[in-house]
Amino acid sequence: MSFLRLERIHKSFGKTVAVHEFNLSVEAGEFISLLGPSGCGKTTVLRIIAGFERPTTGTVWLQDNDITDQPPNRRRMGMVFQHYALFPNMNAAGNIGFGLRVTGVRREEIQRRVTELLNLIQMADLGDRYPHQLSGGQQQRVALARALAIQPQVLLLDEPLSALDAQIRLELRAEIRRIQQQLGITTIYVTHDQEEALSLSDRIVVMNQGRIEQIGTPFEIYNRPATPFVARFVGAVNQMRCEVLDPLRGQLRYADQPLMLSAPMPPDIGSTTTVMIRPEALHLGERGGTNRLVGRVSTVVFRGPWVRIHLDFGANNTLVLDTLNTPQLTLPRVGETQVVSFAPESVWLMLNGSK
Amino acid sequence: MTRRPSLWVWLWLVVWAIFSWLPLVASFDFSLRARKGILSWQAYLNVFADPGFYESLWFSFQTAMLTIIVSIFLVVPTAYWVHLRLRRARPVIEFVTLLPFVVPAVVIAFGLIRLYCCPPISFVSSPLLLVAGYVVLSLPYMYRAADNGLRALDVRMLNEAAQSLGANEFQVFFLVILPNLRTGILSGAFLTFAIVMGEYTLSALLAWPAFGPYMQYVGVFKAYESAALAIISFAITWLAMLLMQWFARVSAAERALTAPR
Repeated sequence: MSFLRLERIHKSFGKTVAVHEFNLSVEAGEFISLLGPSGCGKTTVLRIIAGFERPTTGTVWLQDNDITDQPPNRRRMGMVFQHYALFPNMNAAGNIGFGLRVTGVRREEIQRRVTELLNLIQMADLGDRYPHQLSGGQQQRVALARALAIQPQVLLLDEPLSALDAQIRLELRAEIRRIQQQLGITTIYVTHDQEEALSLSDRIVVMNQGRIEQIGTPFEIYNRPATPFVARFVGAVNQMRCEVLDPLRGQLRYADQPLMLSAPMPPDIGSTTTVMIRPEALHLGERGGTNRLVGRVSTVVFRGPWVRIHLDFGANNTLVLDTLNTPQLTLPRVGETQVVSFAPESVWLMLNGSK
Repeated sequence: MTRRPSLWVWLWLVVWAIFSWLPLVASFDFSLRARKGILSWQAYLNVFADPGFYESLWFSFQTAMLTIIVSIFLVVPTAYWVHLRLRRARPVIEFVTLLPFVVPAVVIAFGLIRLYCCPPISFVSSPLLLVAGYVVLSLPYMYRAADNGLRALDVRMLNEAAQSLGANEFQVFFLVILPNLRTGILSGAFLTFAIVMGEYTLSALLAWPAFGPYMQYVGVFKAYESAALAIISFAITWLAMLLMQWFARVSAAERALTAPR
């Protein structure tokens, strides 16, 4: 049986529906990310799990107990907020020990636990600093330790890294994952940053406008997007507007050049359609696959480990190609004609709302 | 601005200074002339020798302390509740707290007498009635102080953080919210203190020996002592304000660094 289960959760605020028919099963110890653009409902779902919002309909199960109506202070779920929410009147140690204090734990035990957690977050000698004396990254660490102090059944994080600098974000991201795996705590992580979700999660729930677009491992989400939205939101994707030549044979035409799919299209697909392909699935030269297009190089962007090339195929058809920066690589020059090849399997057909 | 302020600025500054300070300076000067022909502290000595001075000062002081305590217990939880749950009611509450500015103290006094003169609630002859009146008078200040303090915190977020850690509503209020309102409440308290110490209408109409009526009484017969009392009263108010500013400044830095960005 799953550890945490959301069953047919539906939430509306007046006439606005924030979450439609949300179903999710989470195993113990899993790291789940809720990923989506602002306003997609991911924070609402998190708050429903935490108990700060009541679902309009639906049930929240924790270890087969219905906790839908349970007040938040009885759920034993630690929460980490985007803006830290540290108590300004207490120092780091006081903040971390707060959850233990309000449940009547003995002072020595609190002391022991606080020391243990300060070591875990690598802030052993900063316990008596007040929030205003700590940097953003340190404050968020304290917030994390504070949430962990109560030994939560579920750890909830609401965009915890969004307010931090890029460098600190990367460090803290790794640390959150390390601690989570070390302690084996079931975690729900809300973010709009797909890189965060891809690098941290066991599974990702991609959301859009209150609906689940796809649930899967990072690998699945990236390499086998279930909907055009997922393909566009997670990673970059090229959209190619093509003429349909032969649906049964999977033959298309892009910018007056032939293009093959690896599977037949529905016969009623119409005369034009859109297909998608990832920039890294396109290859320079002839040897990248049986599909072959010729275009003109319009921009070359050197990004260190890899190179991004923009190609123009005429009539406003452009493609973006990413290639690894290997020593043998000769960078194409702007204005040159360039052959691009790719496998038919890496081309995704986009049908109304699904792939 | 590195340019020296223009002459106009200086002119207005001087005009303002004269307008504000001249009456005070004049009163002070007058209070020093109790002995004919020389400047002396005689008026002040007379005041300090009068037992009525200490009695009325002590009475007002006690009343002020009681007012502050009642005010805190009444106003702070209200402000917190409005912030947390009744956001929409905020404009209404704010309007109510501004009423004491609009309604004259005379009307408040008579209203209090009318309301509490007869059973079931009858404590017209108790000094608590005066405290009740003062709580109303200081309502705008105390509420605003608590309100400002609450605005500087993200009350909802702190509440949720505390609740997620297992705290109930009382624990949230007493362990998290209240300690962070300390400076705001202190500011409100000092303002209330200053108001109560100098208040005349309510205490005179309800016939209590407070500092305000005492000053008025002295003023009827003794001109110099009256001026001295005015200066003393002003000094007390100033002291309260200075303390308030000092407390506010000490924690302003703290608050700025922990408020949500």
